[in-house]
Amino acid sequence: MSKITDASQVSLARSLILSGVAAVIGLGLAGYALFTAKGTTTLVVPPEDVALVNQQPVARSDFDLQLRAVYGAVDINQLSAAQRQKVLDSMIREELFVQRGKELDVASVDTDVRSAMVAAVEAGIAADVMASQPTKEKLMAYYEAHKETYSNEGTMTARDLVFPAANAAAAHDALASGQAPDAVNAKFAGKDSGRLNGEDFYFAAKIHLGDATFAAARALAPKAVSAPIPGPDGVHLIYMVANKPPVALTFDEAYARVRGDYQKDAVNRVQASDEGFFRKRANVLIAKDFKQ
Amino acid sequence: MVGVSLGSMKKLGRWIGGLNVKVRAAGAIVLVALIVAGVWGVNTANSRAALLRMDPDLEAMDAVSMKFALGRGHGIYEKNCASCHGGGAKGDQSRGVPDLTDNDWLYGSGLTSDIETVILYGIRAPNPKTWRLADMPAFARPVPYAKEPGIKPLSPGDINDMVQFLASLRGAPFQADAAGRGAKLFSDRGGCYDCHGDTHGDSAIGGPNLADNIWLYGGSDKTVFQSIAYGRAGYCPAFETRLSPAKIRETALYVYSLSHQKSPSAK
Repeated sequence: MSKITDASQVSLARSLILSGVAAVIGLGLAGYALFTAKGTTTLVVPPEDVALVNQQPVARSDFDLQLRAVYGAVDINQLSAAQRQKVLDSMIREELFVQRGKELDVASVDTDVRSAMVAAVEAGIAADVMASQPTKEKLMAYYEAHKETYSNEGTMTARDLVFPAANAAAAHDALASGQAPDAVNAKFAGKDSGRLNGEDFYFAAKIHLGDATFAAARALAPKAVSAPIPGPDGVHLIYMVANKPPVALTFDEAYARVRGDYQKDAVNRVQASDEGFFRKRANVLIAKDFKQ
Repeated sequence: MVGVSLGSMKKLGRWIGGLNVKVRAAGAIVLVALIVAGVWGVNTANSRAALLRMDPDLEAMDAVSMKFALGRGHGIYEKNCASCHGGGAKGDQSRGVPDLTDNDWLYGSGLTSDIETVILYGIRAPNPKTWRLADMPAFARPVPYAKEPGIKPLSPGDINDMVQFLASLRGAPFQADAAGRGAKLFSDRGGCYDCHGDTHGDSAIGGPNLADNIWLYGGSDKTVFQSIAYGRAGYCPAFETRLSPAKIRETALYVYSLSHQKSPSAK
């Protein structure tokens, strides 16, 4: 016996015992993997599923969701066995038809299926990126690199006054010298164009005034007046009441947008990388007349 | 045929008896450890299977299930959820991360099954079953909400009126005339009623209750203005492909317990 425990001596019994133990452990692991791993054949429905259709699981979570969708937001424990069976039957039917669809290679002819598959693969690629929480340092660095894009919308309160061409220069000088717009209107036969009405966001003012006039208005300080701008209805003068240019957002203020943009960029990168991999391993043949 | 004869068992017994004490002790320890690990593994697998087969909303009422799930759920929460929701699950208003302890639920009614659905499929996550029926439009943008072209931008004055109206709902000081205009805007041009209903929200689409003084991004006039002007679209990852169904159930029960500390099952 001492030969078995004496590591310095060769022992047939010891070799057999160790081999036996290793075989038992190996068989145990293989058996466990065989009956639990995805894609393996089993006669037992796993606890997370309600059914297996040709070994394809019908998930319990999907079943519960479907029960709620079919019977409304009621307590699913109150549903009868018949109601549950009806939903289960419809899910089994769906799975059978999906499997048949795979056999028929429906994706090769049905554009909706193709689109859905593309979207599903893209979503699958994006899922891991979206689920990972970027560190604050990474987001901060991204914010610093794209700082100019994170600002609020500027606002302006301005008046768009229209004068006859003959009075425009004098009206301009009067406004520039500090006279009130209403008084200048009255004195020089001017009127409000109606294009502006109180405080506007920059984008709205731009739409109302047009690009060129907005550009002139945007540069004005409060109580300043633009140079005369000829128009079909007369000469326009923009009188600025209040002008608040866009203010850069702090990191905390912009956090949600920064995180969203960071992840969008990361998703695009990973999807491009995966596409590259797909192309690399694919055998794509292009017709001679399409070759560049 | 594979069998063990009495004779071979006797031989094995003699052989073991012939080993020195240290080797026998080590063998016994290994054997016991293997048996304990096996029993623990089988027991855990059985408990997890039972956990998955039971209705999650009933489980929350079941002390045994909760006790089994909570210890495990806490660890999974710490690893996967705490980076956003915080270790204490109190959330972060500056980033619109919800407090999971206050029993106020944006999506669903706070049942374990609702929480589990969010963990499984996420909010606005790249998952076909994710919850993404609506976003908060950005009314200070030329196109506030691409999904609903009928929604038009509002002026800064309009948004201030709305802020005053919402201040009146939460019992903060407000300007009556502006609040009146805001109320009209709410059910008129703003189209706010579509998601927020009569201001009490709609948990089926994640439309927040505006009358309960619980604010995901903070309830100051400034943050409310920001929400209306620049929109909101919070995000929660989908864990369907990252965690096993059992782990998701355990996490859902743990999160449920955070806002139901006084229930007997959570003790």
